[in-house]
Amino acid sequence: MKTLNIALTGLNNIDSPGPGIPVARALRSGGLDPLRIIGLAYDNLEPGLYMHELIDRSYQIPYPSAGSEALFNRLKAIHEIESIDVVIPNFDAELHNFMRISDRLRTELGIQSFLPDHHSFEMRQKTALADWGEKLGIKVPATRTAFSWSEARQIASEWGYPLMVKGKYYDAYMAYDADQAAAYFYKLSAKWGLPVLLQQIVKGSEVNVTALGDGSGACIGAVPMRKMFITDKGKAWAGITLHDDRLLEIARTAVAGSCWRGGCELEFIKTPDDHYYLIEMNPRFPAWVYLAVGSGQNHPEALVRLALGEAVEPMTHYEIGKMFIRYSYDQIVDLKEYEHINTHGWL
Amino acid sequence: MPLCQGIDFIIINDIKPPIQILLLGARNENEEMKVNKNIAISESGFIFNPGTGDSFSTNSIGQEVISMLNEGKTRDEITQGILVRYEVEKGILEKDLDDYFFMLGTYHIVQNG
Amino acid sequence: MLPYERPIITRYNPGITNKFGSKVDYFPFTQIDGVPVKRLIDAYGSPCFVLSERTIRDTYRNALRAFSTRYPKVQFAWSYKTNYLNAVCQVFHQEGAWAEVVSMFEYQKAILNGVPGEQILFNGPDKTADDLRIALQNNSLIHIDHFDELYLLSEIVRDSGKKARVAIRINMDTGVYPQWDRFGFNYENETAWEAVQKIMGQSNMILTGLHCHIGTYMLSTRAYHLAATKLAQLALRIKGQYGHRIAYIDIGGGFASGNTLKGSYLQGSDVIPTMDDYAEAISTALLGSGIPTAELPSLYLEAGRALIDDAGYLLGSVLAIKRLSDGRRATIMDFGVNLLFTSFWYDHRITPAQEFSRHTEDMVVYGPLCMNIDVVRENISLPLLNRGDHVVVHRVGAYNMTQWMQFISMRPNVVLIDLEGGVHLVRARETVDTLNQQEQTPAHLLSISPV
Repeated sequence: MKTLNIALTGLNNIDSPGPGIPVARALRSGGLDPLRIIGLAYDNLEPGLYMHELIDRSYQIPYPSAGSEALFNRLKAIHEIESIDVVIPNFDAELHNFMRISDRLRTELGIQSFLPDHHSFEMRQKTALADWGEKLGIKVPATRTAFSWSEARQIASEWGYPLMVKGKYYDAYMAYDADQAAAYFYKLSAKWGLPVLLQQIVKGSEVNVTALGDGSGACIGAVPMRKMFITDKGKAWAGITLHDDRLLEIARTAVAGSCWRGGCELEFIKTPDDHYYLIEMNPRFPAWVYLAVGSGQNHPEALVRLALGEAVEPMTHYEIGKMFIRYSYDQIVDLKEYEHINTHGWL
Repeated sequence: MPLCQGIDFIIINDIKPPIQILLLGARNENEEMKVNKNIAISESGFIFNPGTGDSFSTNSIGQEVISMLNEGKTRDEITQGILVRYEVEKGILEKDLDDYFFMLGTYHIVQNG
Repeated sequence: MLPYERPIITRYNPGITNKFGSKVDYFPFTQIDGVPVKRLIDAYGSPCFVLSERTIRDTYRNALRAFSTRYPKVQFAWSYKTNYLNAVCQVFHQEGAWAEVVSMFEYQKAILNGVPGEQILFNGPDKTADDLRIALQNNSLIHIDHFDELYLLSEIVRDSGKKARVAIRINMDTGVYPQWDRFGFNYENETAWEAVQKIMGQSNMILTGLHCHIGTYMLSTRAYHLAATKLAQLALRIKGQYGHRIAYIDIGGGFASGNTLKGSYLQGSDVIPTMDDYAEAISTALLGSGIPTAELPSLYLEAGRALIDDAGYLLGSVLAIKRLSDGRRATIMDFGVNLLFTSFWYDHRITPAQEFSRHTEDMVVYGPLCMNIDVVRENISLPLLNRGDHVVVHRVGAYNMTQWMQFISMRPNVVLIDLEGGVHLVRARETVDTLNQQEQTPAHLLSISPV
């Protein structure tokens, strides 16, 4: 049987981890045999580069800021060595470029991917999420955009504090007064540009869903989880799968309403009176995606099969009450390896 | 000559030591520089300084320069060694070597002997 | 003898190091439309602007196709201020574009280029009484910017006995920030309607068009959809109220080029809408506006940047490389913000024009001016450059050849490569005489000897 060569990014399995290593682990525990996993790394210290039991070989790729053309050329060069069958990008910031070249990857190089189209990608952007949620009947906390601090202050005085101040692409801070809000406004506008978003606080517990859409509206898999403990970076330290049919229903509505193609993570706040507010829809698998595998749904494997054109039956069953508890681990690495990736661009 | 008159002369005298050091670093053709102990350089141009934990990369001509330094060659010998093999004017090479040696010093890879 | 490369050493900094990291170009850019860069520099000096006639025509035809396959009546007017070199204007005019001008100087250029007066759109807030008389005489389309101009024109037409074909420029909220409300009459607060009423009340002014120009380097096609919708609604209202049909809707320009704006995380060419995207947004708005098909107004477009940016290159050379006090590498080029005004807001792509190795350096690129603001790129990763090496700056066709400064040094040669690869000098480099011939020195100041 021909070896399946799968390339993936997101090897930064650090304290705020990327999903690459969990995705690789999911693929290894599926039925895709024989399988070869090729890591694509931005930084030479991404731990996944050195996890040879999971990643067969890794290559450096250009930063998203270098543009889609540079990415395509680099993937082409890697493809000549590795004959990549499927590529799975796992970072938000790189998705735009991958989506842009996905047709060329398929037609010119024969590399498959399974990504949302531009339209569905855009409708879940932070600045558009509230409108989109309204259309689908999904609650989204009141969100307003501000192009200047005076505009933001005006909104804040209508709403009162605390409120969330969010960057156009990333980062969010809770502001308890105008001074804090102003500081965050300037910090976020300097980093991500205008507008800055203001969002009303919704109190409740954070519940998330990792899901996979087939691009035609069907939800191939979805597993809900509640974060049991959160690190100071806001990342889940431990989580547990839930029995929550309403949450799953909302998740399926979001996947169907966007005709989502690929993996995604839906972040909700569940209020004490059982309302669900969609906070964000991340356009890739979450770092905790292996919990879905552990509870019976292998989303990354299903994604690969979909990318290869296989029919995949929707998965509905998962074990309730399965937990993940994240741990960190100090790999011991020889300088030779670090030297090799630095000087040759692959390891 | 204005430089030889009064106050100007004194100022020049005052700053003479640092200027000399600068010139030594940059221009003394017979000066010897030593590659610091334990600096490891691989064939691929990867340099590791075990004293600081820093690592670096250099290009192949940079590698040649470092290996000539290791052989105990002087600046002049290094310059000559490159001039006979590479297509470069002496003035440009000297300027580039000044910069390279300056960076080697900044990164604690060499010390002036 | 081996080819020489400067010895370099770079420290690996976790978080920013990756030899494939920020490199955009893997190959040198050695020729433009088949003409070697070196040959161009040998013949025309460095720096030197180069225009590709092929790229201009291809870009124009692509834009025309995008719009005219979606909308029945489309007319482009070349935006003179973007690049008013005669050779450039003539390529556009040959392709069928009219002229869009914003000053009498540009107007005269268009007339001298042979553009018929009725094919000139006269825009902008700066039109004197004499300017308006000339435009009226030539039956040009006068786009009125403010009430003072409306009253002035009203007096002029009354005296002349001629009828003026006019349009009004309208500003509006299209969800774009900042809103360009300094030009024209506002839509939402009814000032635009007021202007319409005043014009409709004048027997010798014919309200021919409605014009808006919502901004520049616009990344949102939705804003155009909104603008076109609002103008169409206004046209319908005029029709309803006065039974008068608006002949054209001028949606202006502002379409983005593939340049990367400073501070943008992604490359400009990856995020800008295509001409088809803009065309789709605008034409669906007009076609779906409720205006009967037989009465659809013509669609006028004044795109500048998106039609010419890609066709322009700036060739230059390395004057010096040095190291700054903080250890950063600096490269000094023979071109700066005097020629590359757009480097104030773009991170221009710069490619070496000769072979290079895989090694790169992060550097700041300075221009040659003895002025601290003369920075072409604050941070760029480029292959190792030596004094005298040539580089090519991409996408400089828009605004640079009009906003350039003759400051500290004179403007260089501009050449055009024709469709057959022939190279033509289209603007000769300036010399000290270029400046001196404009000057008049009083007799008592002709000598440096004290009087």
